[in-house]
Amino acid sequence: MQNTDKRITLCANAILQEVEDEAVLLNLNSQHYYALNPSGLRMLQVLTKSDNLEQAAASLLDEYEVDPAVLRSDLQELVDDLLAQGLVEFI
Amino acid sequence: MVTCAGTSGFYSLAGQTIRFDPWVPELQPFLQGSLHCRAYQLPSHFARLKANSPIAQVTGWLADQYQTISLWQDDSGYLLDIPSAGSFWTAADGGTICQVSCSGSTDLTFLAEAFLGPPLILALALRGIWCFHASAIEFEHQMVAFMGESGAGKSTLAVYLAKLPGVRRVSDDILPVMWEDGKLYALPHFPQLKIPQHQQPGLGFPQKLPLMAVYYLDEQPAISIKGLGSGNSALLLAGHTVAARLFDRQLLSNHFSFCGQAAAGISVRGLAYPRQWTELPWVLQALKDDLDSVQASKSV
Repeated sequence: MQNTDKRITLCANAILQEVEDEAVLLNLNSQHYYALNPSGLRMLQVLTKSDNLEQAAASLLDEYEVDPAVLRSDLQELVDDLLAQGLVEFI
Repeated sequence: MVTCAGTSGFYSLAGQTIRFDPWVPELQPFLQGSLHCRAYQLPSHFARLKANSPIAQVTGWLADQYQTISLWQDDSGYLLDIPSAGSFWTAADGGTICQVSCSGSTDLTFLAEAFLGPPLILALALRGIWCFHASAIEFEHQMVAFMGESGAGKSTLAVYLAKLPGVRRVSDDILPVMWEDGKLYALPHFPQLKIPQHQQPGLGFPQKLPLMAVYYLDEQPAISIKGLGSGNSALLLAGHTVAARLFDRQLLSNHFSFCGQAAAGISVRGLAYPRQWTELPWVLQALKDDLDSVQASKSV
C-alpha cells in the first residue's frame, strides 16, 4: 500500500454528507459530486480516524470477514479515487 | 440606489414575492402588482464589479442559444452577463432582479427566458429554494416528479398521464422545491415558459405541496420501478438542479445539504417504462402501487 505511514483527511474544499447509510462528497472547487455506498462510507470513516492506511486496514479486518488482500486492494482503490477527485489528502 | 422612469413588476413565484425590473409581460398570471418607477443601482457600481474577474463562467443553452454566462458577486448581490440578453442583477436577498443593460434584443419572450433563467434561479437559491429540472403530476392528492436526461420524456409523460382521469399536471420542465420542517415541498406557482399563460398548470394548486417521490425515467420494454440508493439519490437530485453550476461556495454548500436531506426524506426511484400510449394506464397503476408500498414501508 502506498503512503501507509500517513493519515488521510478530507480536503478543505471537500464536504461530506451522510445520507442514511451512504454518503455523498462534494468538491467545492470542481463542483464534482461523489457517492459512497455503505462500505465506502465505512472505509472513509475508519480511514479518517486512523493514523495510517495500514491501521485502517487492520480495523476494517476486525469488522469484516474478508480476504485481507482484497480489503487492502479495495481500500487503496478508494483512496486513489478520492485523491484523484481532490476530496482527501495525506497529512 | 437611484430611480428612473419605467415600471417594475412584483410577482409571486415559487411562494416568494420577487420584483422584476423592468416588468415582464410573459409573467402576467403571476403578477401581484406594479410600481411606476424602476430601481437601479448606479451603473458605475456594475462597471466596477465587472472590472474584476468573474467568479464563474458557465457555458450552456439558454433561450435556444449556446452561450457563456459570466457571474460577478459583491455584497449587494450577483451580476450576470448573458451575452444575447444583457446584464442582470440579482439582489443578495433574492428579492429583486433588474436588467441593468440590454444586448439589443427586443424579443420579449427571449427576455422572459433570460429573466427566468439564471437570475431567478439564483434569487430563489438565495432563499433556500432549488429548482429541479423535472415535470410533475398530482393524483389522489399525491404529487410526484419525473426526472431524466434530456429527451427521456419527462414533459411527454406528464402531459400524457394528465390525460388520464384523476391526474393533473403540475409542472412541465422546472419544479421549485424547498425543505421545511423535515419535509420536501414542491412550489407549483412557477412559470412554465413552453406553456401558454392561460394554461399555466401550477396555478391551479396551492402555493406549497408535499412531494412524495421522484421517479428517474428510463425507457425500457417493460414497466418496473426500483429504489435507488440514498447516495445515488442525492447525486441525482444535485445533478438535476437547474443552474447549480452558477452557485458560489456558500450556495453550493447549502444546496449540497439540501440534496442530502431531500434524498433521505423522500423516495427517489427508477421508473423503467415503454414510451407507448397504450402502456400509460399501466404506468400510472405502477406508480400508484409503488407509492402505496413506499408509504407502507415508511409507516412500519
